[in-house]
This record gives sequence, C-alpha cells and structure tokens, in this order.
Amino acid sequence: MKRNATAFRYHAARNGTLVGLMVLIGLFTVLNDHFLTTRNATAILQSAAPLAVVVIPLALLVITGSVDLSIGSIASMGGVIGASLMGHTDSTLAGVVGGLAFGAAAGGINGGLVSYLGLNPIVVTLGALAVWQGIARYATNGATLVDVTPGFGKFGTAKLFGIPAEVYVAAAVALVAWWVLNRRPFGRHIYAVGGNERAAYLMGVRVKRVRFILFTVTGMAAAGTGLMQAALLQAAPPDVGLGLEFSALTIILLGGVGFAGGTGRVAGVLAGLFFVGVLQDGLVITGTSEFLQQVFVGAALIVAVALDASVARLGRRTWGERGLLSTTAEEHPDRLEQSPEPVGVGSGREEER
Amino acid sequence: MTGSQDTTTTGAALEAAPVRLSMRDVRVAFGATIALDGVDLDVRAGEIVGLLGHNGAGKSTLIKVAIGSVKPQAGSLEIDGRAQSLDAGPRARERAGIRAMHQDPALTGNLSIADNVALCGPLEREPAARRREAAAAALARLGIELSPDRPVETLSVAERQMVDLARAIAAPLRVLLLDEPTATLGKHETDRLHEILRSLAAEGTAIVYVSHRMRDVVAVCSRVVVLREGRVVMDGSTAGVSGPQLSRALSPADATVHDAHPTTPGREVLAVETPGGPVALRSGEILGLYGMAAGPQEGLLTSLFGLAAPVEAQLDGAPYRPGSPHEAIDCGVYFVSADREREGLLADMSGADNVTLPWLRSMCRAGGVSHEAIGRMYTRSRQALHIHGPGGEAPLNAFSGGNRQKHVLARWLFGPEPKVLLLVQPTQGVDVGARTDIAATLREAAAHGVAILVASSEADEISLLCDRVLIADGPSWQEVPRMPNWEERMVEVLLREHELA
Repeated sequence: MKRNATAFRYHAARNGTLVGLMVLIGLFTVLNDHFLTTRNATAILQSAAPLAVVVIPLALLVITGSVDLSIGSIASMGGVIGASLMGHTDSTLAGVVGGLAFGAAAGGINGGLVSYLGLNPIVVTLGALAVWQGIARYATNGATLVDVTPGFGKFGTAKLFGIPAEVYVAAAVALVAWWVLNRRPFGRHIYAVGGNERAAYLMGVRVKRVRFILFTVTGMAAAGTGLMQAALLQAAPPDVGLGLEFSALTIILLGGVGFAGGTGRVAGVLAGLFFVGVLQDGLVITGTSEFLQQVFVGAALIVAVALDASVARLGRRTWGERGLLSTTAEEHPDRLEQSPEPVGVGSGREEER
Repeated sequence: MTGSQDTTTTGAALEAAPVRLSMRDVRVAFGATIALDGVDLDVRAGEIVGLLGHNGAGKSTLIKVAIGSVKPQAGSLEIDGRAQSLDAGPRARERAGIRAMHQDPALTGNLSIADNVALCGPLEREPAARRREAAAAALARLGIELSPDRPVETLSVAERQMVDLARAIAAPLRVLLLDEPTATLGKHETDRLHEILRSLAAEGTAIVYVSHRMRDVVAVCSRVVVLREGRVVMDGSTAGVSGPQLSRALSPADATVHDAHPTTPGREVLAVETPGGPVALRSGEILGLYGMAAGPQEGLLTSLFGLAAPVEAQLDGAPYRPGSPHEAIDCGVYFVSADREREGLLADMSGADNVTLPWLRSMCRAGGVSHEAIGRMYTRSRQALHIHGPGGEAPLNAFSGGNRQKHVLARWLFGPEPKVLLLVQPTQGVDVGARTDIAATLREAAAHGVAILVASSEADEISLLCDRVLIADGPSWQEVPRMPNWEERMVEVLLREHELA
C-alpha cells in the first residue's frame, strides 16, 4: 500500500510538468469561460508552433550534453535573409530555402567549432548569439523588412481543417524527432553520447559527427522559427528572436531534459511547451499583468528542477534502484584499487583530435 | 639493490623505534564483498613499508581507512599510541599527522603552488607571506626548484605529485602514505622520490608505500607486507624475501592451472610489430599478454583499437591502421576496456541498448530499428552468458556489477562475428560464477574461429582464459607455455625481468 503511494508520487513527480499543465487547464477553465474554447486552443497552438520547431531539435542537442544559445540570433537572421531574398527575387521558395540554408550554415559553424575544435559550446554559441544579432541589425539598419511575398504572408494565416498551417509544421518536426529518437540508430547514439561520451566513442559512435549534425539541424530549425514568425507578422524585424534561447531552454528544462545529458523525451518537451503556452495565455485572458507571467514561469522552472532532484530519491525508495556510483563502490572494491586511467594512452585522444 | 643493503644495516635499529601507526583488526565490507578481513599493520618511526597485492587485494582500501576516507566496520587505529576515532574524516587525520601523496593529486590548477600547499591545512589562515615562506621551505626540503608563486596548472603530473608531497610535509608529519606514487613517474623522478622518502624516514616519519612495481618496493622499502583477499599473507623484511616466496604470496589462493580444453589455432589473423618483437595471433586461439599494471600489453591493445599511436600491423594479410574505434569495429576488431563501469557501459540506457548499440544500423527495417532483431541478439546474449536481473528494458544500473560487465562482453560476441577480440582484464571485478561463464563463452567463441587477445596484470586471469602467454615489461616478449604451476612460473618470469629474483 505504502509502496503504491510512493510509486504514484514517483510518477507524478516524473511527469510533474504534465500534472502542472492539467492543473493549469483546470484552473483557467474555472476562472474564465473563454479559456476552454476552440478559438483559444487554436491561438495557443499557433503561438506555440514556431517555438516548437526550434525547441525540439535543441532538446536533442541538450540530450547529447551540449547547448546552443545562438538560436535567437539565427532566427532573426533567418527571417531577415528570407525576407530580403523575397524582396529581391519575388520568389517565396528562394526566400525560404535561403533562410534555412543560412541557418544550417550558422549551426554548422557552431557545431564545427564545438565538435572538431573542442571549444566550449556555451562560449561559442554565446559569441555567435552576439555576432548574428549584430549583423542582422547592421544589415537592416535596425529597420523591419516588410517586402515579404504575398504567398509567404498567406502561409502565416492559412488554415487546414481549422488548424493554422504552422501547427502542421511543428507537428511534423515533433513526429520526426520522436521517430529518430526512438526508432533510428541515430537516436540511440544521441542518448549514448549524452549518457557516457567515452563509452559511446568506444562503441564506435562518431561522437563529434553526432553533435555536429545536431548543431546544424538546430541552426536550420532556428532559421525556420524566424521564417515562421516573419510569415505570421508578414514582416521580418531584425530582433524577432530576441530572448528565444531563454524561453526555449526554460521549456526544455521544464520538459525534463537534463542539462547533464543523456535524459529527455519528446513528449516531455511538448508538455513543457504547452505548460508555458497555457500559462501565458491563461494569464492574459484572466487579465493578470504580463509582468507576472515571468514570475510564474520562473517559479515553475524552479519547482520543476526541485521535483527532478527528488525524483531519483523517490525512485530509489520505491524500487531500491541503485545509482551507478553507489554500486561501483559497494560491489567493486577493486575499483578502488585501480588507477584512474587504466587505458592510459588511449584516453583523451578523442578530445585532442 | 642499494636500497635493500641500506635497510639490512638499519634493520636492528628499527626494531627499537617506536610504533607510529598501528592498525588492528581492520574490517571493511562493501555490500557483500569483504575488502579487508581483519588486517593488522604496525609501522615504526623511520620505517618504509611496502604494501603489495594484486588488484582487489585491499591495498588502496587500507590506505583509505588510514587517511579517513573509508570508514571501517570494525578495528582500531592508533597514532603514536593514541587511539583515533574511526569516524573521523580526512581533515581530522591530517591534523593528527597522517597525510597521503596521491597518484592523481587533487590540486587547484589556477592557484599558486604556495596556495595549494596551504589549502585546507593548518597554514590556511596564515598571512600570504607566511604561507609562501612555508611552501618555499617545504619545496626546498624536497630539493625541488619551483617558484612557490607558479600556478599549478603549468606543472607536469610529476611536478604536481611533488607539490602534493610538499603539501604533506609542510605541516608536522608522522605518517606518510603513498598510493602508486611512481605510476606516472619516469626513472629519474622515481629515484628522486625514493631519495626523499629515505630522508623523511631518517627524520622519523613512518611511511607506507603501495605499488604494483615490485622493483620500486624492493628498492626503497625496509619491510614488505603482502595482502591477498583482504588478509595479510606475508610480512617480513625486504632483505629476507626471495623471489619465489614473493611470487607464491602474490599468486591467488587457488593457484592451479585451469584444465581448459585446448583450442585448435588456424591461420594467422593478426601480425603486429611491437618494440618488444613481433606478436602473431591465429584464429581460434586465446593469447594472453601478461605484464605489470598499465604495462605495454595494455598500450598494445589500445593501439590496435585506434585509441593510441598506431603500430605496424597486418590484419588478414592487409595493412591495418585504425584511426578511431569505429574504423577498428568496421574491420571486425572489437575492444573491451579494463574500466568497464566508466568506459564500457551506458548506465542509464537499457540492457538491450547496451548490447545492440554498435549494430543498430544492420538491424534497420523501413520503419526503423527492428525490435525483433534487438530481441534476438539480446535473448541470445542473456542465455549464453547467464545474465540475471530485470528485463531488457530496465536501465543497466538496475543490474548487479557482474551482470553489467557481461553486457559489455555480449555486445561484442553476439553481433556480427568478430575477427579479433581485444580484452583488457576481462574478468576483473567479476565474481567467481561470472568468471566461469565468461571463460566458457570466450572458449566457445575461439572454437568458432575468433582470435582473442587478453591483456592482464593478473596471472590467474591469464591461466583461466588463455592457451599461451607472452610476458611483457622486459626488453622483449617471452613466451611461457602452459605447465603445472603456470601462474607461479608467470609471476617468476615477470619478477626476473624486473631483476628481482
């Protein structure tokens, strides 16, 4: 009986964001008649969609134990490049392809510097954040580009079966990410790199390539987010992605992806995404000051992290699961006898190259 | 051996010296494993005691009990006749005058030598000038010409160890413990360290010296204590110990030749040019490479897996120079590291993932990885290696230690058939039952034509698994055929190559 109670608490804590999301929906439904309506649900989905496109690939990158802080600037640049190509060529396709190609290239540069030169991802992408933001503002003189093609503008307002077009794009991104993560070898490699980089390398996983690919995809997705925003606004402001990295990382952490790497699920990230989306929407329609939104989102993040820390403890109490560290000490006294680098010559080479 | 001559002359004087460190009936168990089973150790002032034993014998655990980082279940510890609380941590022991020089010193890189020497010690609250002075004095006493202001991150590993030693002697020192101090040191640096230890001993410090390198122990220690399975099996002055006596004490208790079915070697699969001469490996044989811990046998295996500087090698008659593990794996050469817990396992991923990860590409259908293919390989692995524990979906750290290690072996045995299997200490840290399972599975793989290379510093592991052995660490490899008392013979040859017997 007691075990069942702890098991329930374990699962509740593990899916804390989902529980929180349901509590929020219940709360806002009671507080405001307009909350639980098709129109409002559509609005929530539409505003969450561009964010989802970049948050999901970024979550995969975080699972490998890395991070990209430059997504906001890449999104701004993606929108600006797309809009200006459309202005010059009158071709929607050229604008979209050009914007995405820029994103992939910018992500590739981040990935190359991090993977192959072994630079710190936080430092590299913090630098890239400033560089691309600066270039976007310099190239446009800080002015918003408004000459997007009419076709592109239509995409921003188009609906299929009453659901905005962006939502389909986001759903496709989520599905592909789920498929790769759970059904493709590459997905296992992502978890392996984040869980134990050295062991993954010794199993033949091309650790550097895995991260490089994810940086490239994340960059491309960030540009995609910028383009979607531009379609929604029918214009490309050079600072459209300002602060995007903060909201994206908040969602990822709320979604149960650990910064240490190796853990996280697409479903969790979606729960995080909707938690933030519903919270913001609910606060708006209940007339709460928008300044308070930040307070609630920040507090939710801290609660989520605190829950996360207690999950492992609850799990141990429930099933007596032992962590790796405790078992090595308990069951392998010879571990204590070993030199810290038994393969001596070998270790560290992968990082050096 | 100048060291042993010195110690015979001073031997009588040492008998009269007071006992500095006294440990009585120390018992430590990690779960069901008994690491120390009632160990007594007395070290007199001015004595340097060499602590020997194979992996898992309890040497490091004993050191950790002495410095307070492992709490024993029973026993007592006295310093200069004063009982010490067993609950006390490292800080209290340091205050009592017990300090250690670590193999891998935990120093703060961006602080200066002087700051590191003072860190967490009695000097910590002194003014900067006073700390610098004390550090300079400690360095001078060790005969080290380093500026106390130099940041530690600019030092080599050997120099860092010296800073760690300076830290140990900067405050009044009664007992000094050294855990594998020479593992990363060259010959010149080792001699220098030994000089320092002799002068510290002459000042009345009691010293315990743990090492795998018997040459070093014989050179500097006045007494040798051998541990085996958590018990003291030998305790005597270095001068009175003969090579055969030492090899018997170091061999495991059940030192018998395992009557393994001889395999039938086929064609030559791998030919390697090593500094110690050519090594040839034929299909269907299990060749042991025996040497001191971290010796050339381990270096050779890491090179063959593309982890270290490449060696001249031919695989099936074609040149073989892997630049990384995945290239080696593509050639059918697989590797199991000695540190499987840290280098072989994905603790948070499932048992099935851990076994199938390198082979997922070959298990794909249109929709993705085939769960049937994964299930087939995993089921076969569990049956063949008798893996016990939760289902294949459970994370690997829910399995016990031996079963976790079996997953690593299964990964390389039951995927695409290996040409060459490179194993470093494959049965280390594994219980007796699992050892037998692993030995039987390797033998079966060899019977299917796999060529297996086992690098080990444990003679019993070689005799359990291998058909023949090449002994390393001398100028060349020396082959010792299977014979009665094979293990003792192996240890003897290794000791002889170290000019000890």
